[in-house]
Amino acid sequence: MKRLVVSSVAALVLLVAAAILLYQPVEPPSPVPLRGSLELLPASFVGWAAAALPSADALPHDASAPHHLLRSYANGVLPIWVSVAYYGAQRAGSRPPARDLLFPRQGWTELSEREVTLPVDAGDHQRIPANLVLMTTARQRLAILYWYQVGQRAVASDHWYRALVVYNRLVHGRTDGALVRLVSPIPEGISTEAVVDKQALFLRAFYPELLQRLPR
Amino acid sequence: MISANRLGAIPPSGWLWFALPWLAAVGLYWPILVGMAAEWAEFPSLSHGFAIPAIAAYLIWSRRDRIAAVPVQPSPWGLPVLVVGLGALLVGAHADEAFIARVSLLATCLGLALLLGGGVLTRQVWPGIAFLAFMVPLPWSTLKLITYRSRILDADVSAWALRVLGVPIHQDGVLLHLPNITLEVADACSSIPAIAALLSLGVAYACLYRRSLPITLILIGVTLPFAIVANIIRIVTTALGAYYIGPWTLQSAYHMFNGTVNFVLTFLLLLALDTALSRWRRPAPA
Repeated sequence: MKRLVVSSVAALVLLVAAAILLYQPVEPPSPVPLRGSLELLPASFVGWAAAALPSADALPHDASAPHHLLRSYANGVLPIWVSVAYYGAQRAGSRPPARDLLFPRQGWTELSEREVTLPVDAGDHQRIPANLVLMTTARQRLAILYWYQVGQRAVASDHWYRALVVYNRLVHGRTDGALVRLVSPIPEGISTEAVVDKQALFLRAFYPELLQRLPR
Repeated sequence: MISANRLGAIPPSGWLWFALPWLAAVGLYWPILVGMAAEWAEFPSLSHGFAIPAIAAYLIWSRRDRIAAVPVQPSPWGLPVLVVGLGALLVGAHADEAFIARVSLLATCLGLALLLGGGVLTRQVWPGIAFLAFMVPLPWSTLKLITYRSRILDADVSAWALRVLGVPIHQDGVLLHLPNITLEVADACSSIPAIAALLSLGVAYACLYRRSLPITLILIGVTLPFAIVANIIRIVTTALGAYYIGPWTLQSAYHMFNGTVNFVLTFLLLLALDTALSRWRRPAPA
């Protein structure tokens, strides 16, 4: 009986302590500012000119993203639509809903999905992970590359990204992150691999510029 | 000292010390439980959540005779388990990760059982506590990912089965192109939204109809594959109906009430397997 009383008191102490810690007001993490505005990302790169923006169907926008960039670049026939959504601080309701944005509406069907690594420099010394999703409607097919940026670090996995944000919240007191999407239509007669190679080529010019604007 | 410190022999004052921490835990987790119940009510595929606590309580109550006879020997090992549970609650709450906060309930309950009742008592109640896992909704992104993978699997196997059955078909991801119609294995056609309900059904069935340990493990282990097989059977028969009879069959109750159909098919498969295994272990008299 004595042991039961002692154990019960110990449990009650822990539960009360947890309640105090749970319900005490905690300052949410302050938004981490961008080092440079996304709007100042170059509108064109060597070999890539500015092009017409896509329809909202192909590249839906996350209205909860405090900072958002939508651009279109073209290299000859192939356009690349770029979306960068940056969240200085994330909470439920304001965090990158990647899968909801990829599979947005009726009429779009995903055909396949796999993780890839992409070179981001000319010498192929540095590669980043990304998810390659192929989607289709009756009229067109799209190759979508997407990944998350946690500061200077690229993360492909949806779950690993969430775990990293939790870790940063607890250890560094910050919850910033970004969702980056590169989307290209796949023209008739062109292979998916050829389109992804073009996207990878574009990334080598775009990625260093992007990193300069994201927080360290 | 109470003879053998059996749970059934604890005086009323002892019951108070036993019950207080549990009541405090319910109070602590109350907002979490209310939030979960709101999701169960909002999403039909999660509505089985209302039944899970009742089934878990029954799993424990069905062992009341054994529980009343076990010695109550509070164990200090319950403390670290309780700390882990409460730590996870705090992490989940402050990092805005509802799933972590909800799952922490299981560790907290296990910790309390161990701390207040000891290892022998915990061995009797842990199935009921573990069963509560079925009421915790998976994170949306996890569910979406698993659903997509299962749709591809369902489409792959269904297309193969239809070819074997002589139906001309071309598969393009989750699209099944028949000569007269194109079918999409959509999110709603996947077995995944109902998988938690089906798994909980399998586990409850195996625990309540007490079988030997090997049969119990087999019944629990086959529930998930059976659910997938049941869904593929439904997809294949729907495609056969659309091809041989006409696309109007897609509006039939058989296709529209896919969750119910899957549930019934899976349960029937489980029953059939249980019957076969029980007969195999207990051959008919000569």
